[in-house]
Amino acid sequence: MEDNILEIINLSRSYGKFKLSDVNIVLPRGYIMGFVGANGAGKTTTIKLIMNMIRRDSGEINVFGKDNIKYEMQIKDKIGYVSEQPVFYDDLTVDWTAHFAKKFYSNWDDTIFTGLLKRFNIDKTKKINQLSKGMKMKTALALALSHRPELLILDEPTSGLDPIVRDELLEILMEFIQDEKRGVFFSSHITSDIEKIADYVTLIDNGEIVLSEEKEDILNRWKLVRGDHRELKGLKEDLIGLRLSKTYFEALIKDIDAFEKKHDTSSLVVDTANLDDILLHLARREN
Amino acid sequence: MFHLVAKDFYINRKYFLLVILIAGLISGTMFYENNISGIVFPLVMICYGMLTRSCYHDDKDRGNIFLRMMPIKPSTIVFSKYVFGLLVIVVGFFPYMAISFLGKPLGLELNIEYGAMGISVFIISFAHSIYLPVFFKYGYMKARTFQTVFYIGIMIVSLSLKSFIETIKLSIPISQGQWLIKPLSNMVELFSQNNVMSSIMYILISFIMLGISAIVSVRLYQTERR
Repeated sequence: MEDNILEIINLSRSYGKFKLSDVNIVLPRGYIMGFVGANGAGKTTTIKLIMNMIRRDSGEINVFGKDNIKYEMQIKDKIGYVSEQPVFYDDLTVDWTAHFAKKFYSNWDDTIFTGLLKRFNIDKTKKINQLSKGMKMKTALALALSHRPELLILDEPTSGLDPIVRDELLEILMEFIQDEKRGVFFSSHITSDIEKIADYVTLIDNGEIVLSEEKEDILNRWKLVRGDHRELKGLKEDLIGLRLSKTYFEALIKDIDAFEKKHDTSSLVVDTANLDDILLHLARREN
Repeated sequence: MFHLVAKDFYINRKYFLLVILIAGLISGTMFYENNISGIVFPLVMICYGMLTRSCYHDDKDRGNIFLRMMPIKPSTIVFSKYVFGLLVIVVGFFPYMAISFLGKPLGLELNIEYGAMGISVFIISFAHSIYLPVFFKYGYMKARTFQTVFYIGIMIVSLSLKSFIETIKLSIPISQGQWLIKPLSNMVELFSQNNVMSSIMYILISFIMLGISAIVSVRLYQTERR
């Protein structure tokens, strides 16, 4: 069994003025990758390219070690996909939708679907348009999990959901990953969700991958520094997203070890940076 | 394929029942008035309407995303729409055929006008052949704009072609225009005949048109996925 469940190599795609360029991502089996970025950064485009819903201009996408275009049907048979706004035919019932979907998967398991509906408290005789947004998302997740997928791809699944439903979804993802043979690729701009469950984090900004590493490494290396603005001299080139006030400055540093070797940090305050901080300071750098 | 077609029928089930009812009423009226050629326009509208309605549901519910997240070949998605379009034609004509066959044992002289049927199949297939590639390339909204222009075009052409040719025939000297007028005129004559052969010819041409259109649609859908 191949070690990497998903590999994206030098992927590029242009869309009018937007350009997704040289995207490189590797997700090993048994892990959850959070795909973070602001709205319009290129998350959905990347996911659509993985699902072969749009064509790439160049690069490679290998899922389960196989090219995602050449082996599209085999790959999709083992992928569970949930989009930001779950898509179904509104006028059909949950049950009819499941009966329709099961015809196309080789590994569909009715007991999983029924069990998940029961767990989510979803009435299968209800029409899709009678379900709330949270219920639709849960239905989408139930459909995505019922054919025993190996890779779960979720595009902003927690966006617009209340904290209880969000927590429930994250719990299911954690359960899904337990056997260590599967993987989850999970995009979101809600960084707290990513921090809760992801093992790897990929940050995309304006169509380019800023970082793609283990979450713990990121949180250990990337730090926030604060200090008197008179101490800025000599530091500036190593600071990212510098914010100045009348008396102090705040900025992000990429590698605390390298920074400490180069500069005297005794008069600076070094703080943990969370993903939100990283995202905000990187955005400020752009501006 | 079967499940995709069944899904289209199921989603349009209310409209589908209405179609059968209306097709039945129209067919009955046509027999009663002994003017079967009048069936063409309403049937074209009904069948074309049913296909575009199924495309509307795909667009409104973002069905293309729902279908493409599953292991379904793009070509199967495209061909299923064509099969649905063909079955809709069968459904549209079903009441007409049924009334005709059931009427005979009852002693009613209800003859099927094959020419009118052939023309209907041809026009509906032509409409589908043009509409579906546009839908698969640009989606429902743009195809709808196209559809409006197309309807107007169809109406103008169908109402004026024959009289246009007659007018040209009279106004152009024989020596100058016959090379163009004669084949065109012959074609109109041929298409106006009411026999089984002309009907088969219409249906064959319809299948060829739909086949070419389906190949174009698959290419467009595969290269320009929305």
